[in-house]
Amino acid sequence: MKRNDRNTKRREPSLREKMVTNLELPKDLMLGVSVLTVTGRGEALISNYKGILEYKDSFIRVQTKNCRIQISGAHLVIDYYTNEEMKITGFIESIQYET
Amino acid sequence: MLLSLMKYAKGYVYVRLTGYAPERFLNLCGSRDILIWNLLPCDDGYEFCISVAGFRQLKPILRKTRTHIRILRRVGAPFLTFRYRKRKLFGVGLFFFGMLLYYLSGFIWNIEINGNSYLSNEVILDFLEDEACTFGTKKSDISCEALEEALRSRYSEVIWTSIKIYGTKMTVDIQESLLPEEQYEKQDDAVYDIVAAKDGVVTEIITRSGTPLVTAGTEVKKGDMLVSGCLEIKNDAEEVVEYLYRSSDADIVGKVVYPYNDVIKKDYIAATPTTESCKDYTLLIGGLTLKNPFFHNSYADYQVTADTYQVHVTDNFYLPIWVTRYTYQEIENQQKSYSEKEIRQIASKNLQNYLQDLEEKGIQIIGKNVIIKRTGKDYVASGTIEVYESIVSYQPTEIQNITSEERQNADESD
Repeated sequence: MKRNDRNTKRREPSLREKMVTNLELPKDLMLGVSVLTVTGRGEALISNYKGILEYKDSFIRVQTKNCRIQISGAHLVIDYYTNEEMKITGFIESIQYET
Repeated sequence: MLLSLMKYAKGYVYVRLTGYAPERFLNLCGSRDILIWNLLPCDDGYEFCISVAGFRQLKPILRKTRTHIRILRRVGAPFLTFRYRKRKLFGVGLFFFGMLLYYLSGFIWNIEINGNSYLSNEVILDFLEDEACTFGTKKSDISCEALEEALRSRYSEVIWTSIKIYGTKMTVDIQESLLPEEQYEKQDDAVYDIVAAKDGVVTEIITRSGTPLVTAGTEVKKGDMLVSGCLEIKNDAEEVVEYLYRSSDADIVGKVVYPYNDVIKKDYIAATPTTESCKDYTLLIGGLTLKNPFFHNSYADYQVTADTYQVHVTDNFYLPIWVTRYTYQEIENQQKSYSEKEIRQIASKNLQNYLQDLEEKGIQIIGKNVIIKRTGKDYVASGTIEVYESIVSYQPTEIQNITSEERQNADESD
């Protein structure tokens, strides 16, 4: 019951989210959510993240405002890495969101 | 591409990062806007590329995260110039190279010609050469407008032209008039008779202007007048009052007999190429011929094929350098003789080719009478071919001395 409660509560958007949605403002700017652009299977572009948690040849864990993103695959290389965005190339097998 | 060129120009280092908290190091780099690229994990840390400017800002971060950095490779122009800082002449050479490139870019090195169909590319290039606007001309010496004007006035076929210079390339765009000028118009000023071009019998005559002197069925010799350009004006007493001159124009078809004679030798030397062949190259620069001094042809009997190629830089810019490739093909000469059947085949093939040539000239063949005879060792195919063809040939009219004025004067004096 408690768990159900929590789920329904989570689905309810906050006032800020409602405003952003209704005013059609860009969510990545207003809410600070991260944007993940995946091109094919070999290229992923992450923007709006906080930092790298772990980086190995087979997986990259990135911390964002709300969650952690884990990109698993093989021969993963960070092409470039700046404060705004990071580009990952290699063979991507899965993308997971961890809360 | 451009980005990597800029990175190279500014210089970057390939480094290995090891230590206590390398991930934190990366995040700190990110937050301080230090660009990192080609980040790769290795056994005890990371390897990545970082700009020289970025590398200089790393010291506090390294201390904070208790990590160590080692330069593995230095890449880029600043390191290269530092390494070769003592090679001053190299720099001078580079400078002169740049100056030369700049200087030479002020000349025309490529000419493109579009839209010409009657005028060939060579004609246009010759024209440009006459106007001193060919390859290697200084761009500032060329006036495109004047050149366009000259091209239009030189060739009446050209109705529109545009000459542009972009970089070192000159583009000549031409629009030609659709109809070429009629050939016969140039005969307007002179008066011509039509005379027979060949011996034969006139079979058809259609006169458009002039006085016909022959009718269908008349036998004519070469040079006989067929249509006169002179028109006699007679009075009531049938005396010639006046001569009027007008170029004659007529279609005259005659029956002409062509003699045919073809000798085929029974014995011949057959040259069969063997598998052996070799190549030799000769270079012709200006008027100087450079031969390969090491080439030696060891064949007794051979055929030589020469292929000449003129060296050109662009599509049209031909340099005065020719490369000739001589292919020496060894052959074996054998004495052979044709059989009667083969000779007949060759003779009929030769005749067919001859007739085909005539037909291509617009001559209508009406009959052929060719027999093959053996004379000693050789065979002779001889006979006649009857054809219908135009026997029109022009010749200037002889102007008679009586003109209308003279005649009038004579009348008055009477």
